[in-house]
Amino acid sequence: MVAEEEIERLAAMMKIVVTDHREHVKKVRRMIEYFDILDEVGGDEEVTTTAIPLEMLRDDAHAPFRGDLARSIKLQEDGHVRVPKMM
Amino acid sequence: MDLDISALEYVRGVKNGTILAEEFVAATMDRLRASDGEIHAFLTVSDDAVERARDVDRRVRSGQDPGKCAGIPVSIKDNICVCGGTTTCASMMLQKYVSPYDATVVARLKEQGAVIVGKTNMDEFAMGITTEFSAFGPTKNPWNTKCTPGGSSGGSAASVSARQCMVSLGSDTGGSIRNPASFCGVVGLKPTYGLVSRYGLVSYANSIEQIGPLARTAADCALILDTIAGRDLHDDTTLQVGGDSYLSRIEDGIEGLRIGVVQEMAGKSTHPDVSSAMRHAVSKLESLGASCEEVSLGTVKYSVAAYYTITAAEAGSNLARYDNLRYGYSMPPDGYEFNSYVTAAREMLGPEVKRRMIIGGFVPSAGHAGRYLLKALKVRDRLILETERAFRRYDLLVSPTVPVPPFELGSKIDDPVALFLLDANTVTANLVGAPALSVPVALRDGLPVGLQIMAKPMGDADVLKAAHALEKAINLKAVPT
Repeated sequence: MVAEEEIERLAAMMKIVVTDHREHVKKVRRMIEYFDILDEVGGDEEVTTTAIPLEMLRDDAHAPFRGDLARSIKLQEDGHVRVPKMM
Repeated sequence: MDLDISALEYVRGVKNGTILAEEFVAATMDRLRASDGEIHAFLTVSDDAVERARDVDRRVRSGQDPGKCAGIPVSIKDNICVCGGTTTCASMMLQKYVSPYDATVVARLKEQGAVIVGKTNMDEFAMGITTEFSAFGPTKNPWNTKCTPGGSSGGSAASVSARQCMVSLGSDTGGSIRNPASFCGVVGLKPTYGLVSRYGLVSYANSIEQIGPLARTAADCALILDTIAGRDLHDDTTLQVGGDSYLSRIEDGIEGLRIGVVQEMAGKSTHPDVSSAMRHAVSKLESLGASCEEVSLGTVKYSVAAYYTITAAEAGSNLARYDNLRYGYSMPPDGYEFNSYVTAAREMLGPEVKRRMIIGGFVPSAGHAGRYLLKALKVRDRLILETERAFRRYDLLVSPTVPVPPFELGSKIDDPVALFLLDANTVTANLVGAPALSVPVALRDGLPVGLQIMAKPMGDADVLKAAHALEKAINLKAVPT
């Protein structure tokens, strides 16, 4: 069984606060416990981790966006994006 | 005004001048506004739909080609960008997000004369199977408003079913087009992975999700697939499409096809009403000249766990961008340091999304990846091999789309595993990248039941022609109005 502390640690890592703590932990635990059925899957074959062959990628060339994306930024000041302090 | 005609009949009428797109779209918008207070299929409604339909009529009058979707009223799931309008993903996080561009699928529909009537409700960030996880309230099933329309493209399916539009675009990560298509009695297609561009679709699980059409007939789905499929330079996962159109092959019939009925998708956990509907559909397929027999796909037993593990891992990464800096609702940064600011912003995410994020951090993490994510990827590889073997013997695989008929809103929302298992028959197609479609085949207690038809990757024309043959043979009645 996944420990409650482990779920809390993961929530903190993902920067998530939950309001209905007990109910939330119960549901997350139930979901993860369902995944335990994967324990039955044996074998030591290599797994595929890419959805498409890597040679299909487009050239690594700059393609400017035609619209005005800067207008989407709501918090800006003097041409800069406003963000919280890092330190 | 007869709103029940198919999109194909309608386009023919618009092009030959017997139907005015303006009148038809105006009548559709009237119906939408009159019915959506109860159904709640839409999150936003376009205010220029009638004007766009008028443009189509003008092109027809002046002898220009109005496009193969001339004047078709289309709804778009609210995780697909339409330039200048909001794309909320049914989340408070993106309530005010305005799309700066059209998704490729939307641009292609507009180029062919389609008219966007609005953006449809969904489970928040497409995480759910009942549309109850929308931050803006659930959609109701037009067949019985006490029931869920399915999800996550529940608004799209309900809007087509309730004649609020003719066709809709949804997205399908683990059944999110096919499940609501089954529950709402419409046709819904999850195309081959890579057949349709995902540029402008808000990402959930990139390696398996696809945009696809929902419509009242398979032929209308084929028309829309003809319009949106094909290579897009904005999406490197897209494939080059060649050969005939999907619509041109729709009448090919299914005589002589070999069809496998997947045992693991039609077992004891299937509701008796759904089982009887499937038997009825299989007998119709046989009467149309196909040969049907049972086939076993042993790895399907692990497909739901593998699917939720892989999607959670990908979602955990994709949702990291909702930090109120790159995307998210805008609150002043004054008084916050970085971590507390991001944490405060993420309070706008709903409970199911938060749970998936936590799991998305768990399954690929050091100490757990070997037990969960790597095993899930192994299941995906085995399913690919197993289905490849099956498709050497069979042209199509069929099963019930959903193991249960539509159920009452609220009845499963507190049981996450019960919700997981609603995907038991649909996730395999996503994991292996194959096309799969749900077509309504029966009514049980006044509610529709769908059959899932799956083909090997790039066999989209085969599932469409089989669905077309089946719907003609069964001739199911439309939603009561």
